Amino acid sequence: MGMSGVLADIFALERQEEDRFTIRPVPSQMERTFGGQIAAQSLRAAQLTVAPGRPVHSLHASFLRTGQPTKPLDLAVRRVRDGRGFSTRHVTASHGDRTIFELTASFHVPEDGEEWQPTGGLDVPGPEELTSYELPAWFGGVPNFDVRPAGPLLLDELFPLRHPFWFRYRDPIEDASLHPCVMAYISDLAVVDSSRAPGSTVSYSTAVSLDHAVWFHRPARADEWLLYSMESVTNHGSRGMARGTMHTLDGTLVASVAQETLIRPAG
Amino acid sequence: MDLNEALKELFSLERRAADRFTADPVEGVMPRTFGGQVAAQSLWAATLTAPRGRPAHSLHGHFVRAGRSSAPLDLDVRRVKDGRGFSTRHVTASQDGTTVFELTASFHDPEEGEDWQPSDGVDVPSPEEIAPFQLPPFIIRLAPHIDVRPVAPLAEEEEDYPLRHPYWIRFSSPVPDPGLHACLITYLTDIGLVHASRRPGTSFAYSGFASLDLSVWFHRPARADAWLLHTMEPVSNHGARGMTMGGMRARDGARVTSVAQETLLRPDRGGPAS
Repeated sequence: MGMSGVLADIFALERQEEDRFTIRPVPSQMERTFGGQIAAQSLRAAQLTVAPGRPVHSLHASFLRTGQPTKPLDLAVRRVRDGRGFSTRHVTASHGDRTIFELTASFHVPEDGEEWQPTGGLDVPGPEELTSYELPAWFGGVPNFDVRPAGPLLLDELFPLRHPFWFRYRDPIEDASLHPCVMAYISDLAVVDSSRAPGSTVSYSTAVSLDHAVWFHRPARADEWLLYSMESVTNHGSRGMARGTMHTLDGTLVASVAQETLIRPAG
Repeated sequence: MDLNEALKELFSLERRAADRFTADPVEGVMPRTFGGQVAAQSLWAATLTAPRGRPAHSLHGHFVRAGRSSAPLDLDVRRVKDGRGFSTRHVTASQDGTTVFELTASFHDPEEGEDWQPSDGVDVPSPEEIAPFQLPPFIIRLAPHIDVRPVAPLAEEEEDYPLRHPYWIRFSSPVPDPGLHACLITYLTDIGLVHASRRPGTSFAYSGFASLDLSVWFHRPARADAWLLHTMEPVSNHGARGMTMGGMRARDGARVTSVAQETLLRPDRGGPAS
């Protein structure tokens, strides 16, 4: 698989039936499973039921209940459609009969088309000019990733990492189909914080992801530098919204991301 | 036909079981169903199974196959979750047993919270200063009841569908049922999105041209019969797929929705149009 350590465990899906998979608990210090991990595992399950040569181009997901790191995760795939150019899959992720997450992924046979993205380069320092940041121990340490914040850390906060940041997996990933899964994993990192009103000093009693969407515009490698940049769109009624992009080192736009969050003020 | 009658045609769903509904075929429109209509009807079916007073705050839909206007649309709702503050519904829209569309909608009890949006205002002419544009009723069944005021110039070389974002839009008569506003805003949202996903200034000809998905986030309460400024920008074109993101603002500048759509933009084998 070309993956080492914890990340190999994360993607160790055991096939129970044609379209049903189980993943053993992945050791973690977190009380709740990291959302990006569930998204990445669900996308992997969907992928394993799709014909080779159809890369994923989008995922839309709902976070329904808290995932528990101590429990195995069951992934049930429903084959929504297999067309000539597209396949669609729906995945239900659960602990036993408790559904925690649902995802719809779409896959597309590569085609030719117009090539365009907005002009304007990346207005941040490159990763070589920046220093690596170790995620907090309680987070479980996102395994074997090099994460380099392109802006200041918020050191007085529980989770100091802010967007934008560069990231890459430190070892080569040989299975090409794993790159979007690893991108999906990172795509939930520091996103709730990025949905807050800029400069907000409100403290929250609840701060969780509600949904998540990733569009994979172009092929990309998660073992090469990607700049992940999310910005707040609006805050209202205890909900936040963030929207952003992933770019390669040469400025190619490889993914768009959108997430709505629940940010319930304390007191 | 007034707006009430027109809305009944689309939204008076026959309830066949607690969570199963059927919408009648729609007459007098093109054979292929307008995507915004299927999305709006699916959201309405989900709304009818959600607790009262818990408005929709998001939907994610997938256009799986082309819908046919001449066939009834079956809407099967699955109750994914009913929590203390949130409900989630999944809807499968099908015709003669074949799925055409799937949607996930989430509903949230109103809560207090921070109120913030970027401070840039609405810097475009007001709708009263702009001449109305008539949407083609053969595509959009409710077109006679929709008032559109294009802010951007019309694309004159394309006679069939020249409307471009941004534009002001609203239903021209009062919407009778408060629960319908989110559905009708969804209906309005899907108008012209495929065009909005294209590379700016492109003269490409396409052989295939379709919406792949649709996401709408309803940030603040809004009315479909009050002016909404719909602004969408292209994000990327690659591999025969386009992407557009944007949203709607109310007249006072309040950000009421965010919208995202990925599209299929399959080039004509002939390449760029001459």
